[in-house]
Amino acid sequence: MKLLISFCLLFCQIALFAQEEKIFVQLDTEIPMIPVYVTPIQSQESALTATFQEQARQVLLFDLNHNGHTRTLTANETSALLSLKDQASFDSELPFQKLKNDGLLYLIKLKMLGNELSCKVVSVNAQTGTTIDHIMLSGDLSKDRAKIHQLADAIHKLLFGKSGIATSRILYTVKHKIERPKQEAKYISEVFMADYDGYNARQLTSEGTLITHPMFVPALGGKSSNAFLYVSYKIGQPKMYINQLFNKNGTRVSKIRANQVTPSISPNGLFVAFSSDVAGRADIFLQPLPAQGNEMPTARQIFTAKGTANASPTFSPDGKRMAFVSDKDGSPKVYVMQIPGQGTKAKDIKLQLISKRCRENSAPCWSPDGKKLAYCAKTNDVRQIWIYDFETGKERQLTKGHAIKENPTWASDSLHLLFNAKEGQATEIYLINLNQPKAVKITSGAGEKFFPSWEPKQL
Amino acid sequence: MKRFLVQFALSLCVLQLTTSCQRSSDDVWNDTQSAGRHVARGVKTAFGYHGESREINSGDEFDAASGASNPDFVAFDDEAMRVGASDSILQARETPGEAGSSIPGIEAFRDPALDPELAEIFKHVHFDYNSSLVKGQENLTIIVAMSEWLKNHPNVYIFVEGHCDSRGPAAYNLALGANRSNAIRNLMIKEGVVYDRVFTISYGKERPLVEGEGEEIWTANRRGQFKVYEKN
Repeated sequence: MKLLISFCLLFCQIALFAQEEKIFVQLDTEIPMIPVYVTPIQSQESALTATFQEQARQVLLFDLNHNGHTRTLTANETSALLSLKDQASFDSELPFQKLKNDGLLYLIKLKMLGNELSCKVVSVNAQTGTTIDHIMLSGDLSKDRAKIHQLADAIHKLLFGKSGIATSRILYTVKHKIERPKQEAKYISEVFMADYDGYNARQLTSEGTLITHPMFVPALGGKSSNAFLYVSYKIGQPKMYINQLFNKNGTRVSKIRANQVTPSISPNGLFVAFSSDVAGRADIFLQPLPAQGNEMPTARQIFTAKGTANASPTFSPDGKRMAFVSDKDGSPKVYVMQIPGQGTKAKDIKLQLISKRCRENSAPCWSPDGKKLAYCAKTNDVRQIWIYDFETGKERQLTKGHAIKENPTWASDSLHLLFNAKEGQATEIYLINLNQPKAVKITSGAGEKFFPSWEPKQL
Repeated sequence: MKRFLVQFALSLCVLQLTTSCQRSSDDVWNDTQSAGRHVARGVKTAFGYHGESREINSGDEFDAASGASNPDFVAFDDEAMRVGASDSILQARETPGEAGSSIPGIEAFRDPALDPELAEIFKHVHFDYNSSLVKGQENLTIIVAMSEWLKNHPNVYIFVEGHCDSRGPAAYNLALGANRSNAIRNLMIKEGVVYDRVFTISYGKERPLVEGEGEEIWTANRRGQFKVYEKN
């Protein structure tokens, strides 16, 4: 009888633990992209060189190849396009049936007259074309890139009913090591701002110290953000600062003592959440962002647990829930909670565990549409980017490869992500989207790039 | 009954072997540590041990212990989570380098490793992977020695830096680094160092002592490190 009871206990426990799944291997779930052909620029009376015009076209091609919806064909890919390239004319008739037979859906015609670049988007199925407002180019590609990105977003809006993300800006840090004789090396990182494709990078800070977690402060009234928040070690302990773009010095955000790390701003631009060890361990705090000229508000402790490290809060779009990382159950995992109101007791806070598949989960980021969380997790000993889908309740691995990937951040379209990845000695920023899970590197050069952050939706 | 207990224990061993084959040895050790922590807390509670009393050294600490609100933050009101509970000691009100502070910022603090006498006292304290527990006699001896020296030099302030190795994620490591520096700070305060002379900085994995990979390098980087400032 006793043997039978022992056997039953053993069987039940094995059955229970046998449900633990092995490490998941990513399935390729690429969604077919809509094929588009962009004609060479038909040039008339233009002082802009053929080389510049082709460079401008390449900027447009990059945008169309990385918007998560279209892919551009080369002329050699189909016989119809091959015959077309020799007789390309902005206003001429097209061999629609041939193009349709070759699977082409849209053709984008480009014409340069002087400095004016015109664009017509032709639907092969409908056999009609729509002209998009022309743009004026200066011949300076670094300045003209913004206008070409606007053109790409306008094409996106025409095809899909909403603007693309080609005109959006990103922030990240660039870190350097400074060797010092007979002393510990010094590490310095500064904040850089760039176009979403990594071009036009400009340094925003000159603090000569470590900086982490730069992020735009959402602007009200449909304007682009002109302020950013970051964490700086300039006085010693890491503290949060807000600065206007291209201003010299930032101003403090919180009067809370001790370390202030891994901040996140609410989508409405009114609150900041962060981790601080003011109470003797790394807990999560919430505070209104200070209004200019006003006294700094008081922060409120919103999550703590004995003997734990808690970090990386991220707000839901409605500002009522928060995802964050805690090691309260051993290895750091991602949890979601309702943001507790004033007077809530710590013991009454309920957590929903999000990351169940992998260990060492970190840096969650809530998508602007509220439907997904992106985070990094150790997968077969390599940190990868994972996505949790609130609608299905499932996690899926987005990236693969041996580079160590961290700090995912969403674009305002909830489709694109940036993250930093370390491969060998270099750490760079990569761009990816959920429909095309092959990441593309958008930074290069000296210094290690970390903590990318995307410009939020305009409010 | 004895035979039943033996059979039950054997079945647990088989179970451990069966499930541990699906996980790495690090995973098994981490889970075993977690289970141990939960069991230890349960045993302590069962025997009525809920925390330890300690001397209050300042008005800030009294406010925290009594549950009065602190102007720079509002804490949870739970008895168990109250600031001043055994595993968490409130940080000093003054922040070195802040406007109005009598203590300068980090640039005025020096590395004791550059002074042969201080280097022997302010040695690095090392941690296990993914842990902020101060373990081992060697680490405790360092903390006791530092604390004694600081008690004999009451005009010296100290930054305790918490560092991590390169393997963990950058963001989480900033919190882990904070907990490591607080673990050292807590022990120094328990050794009698006045709490508002000890400050914490978390660097996470942002400032490795040694670059590269491998057990020796990782161990060297998982450290508590110190900077001191002597006020005249």
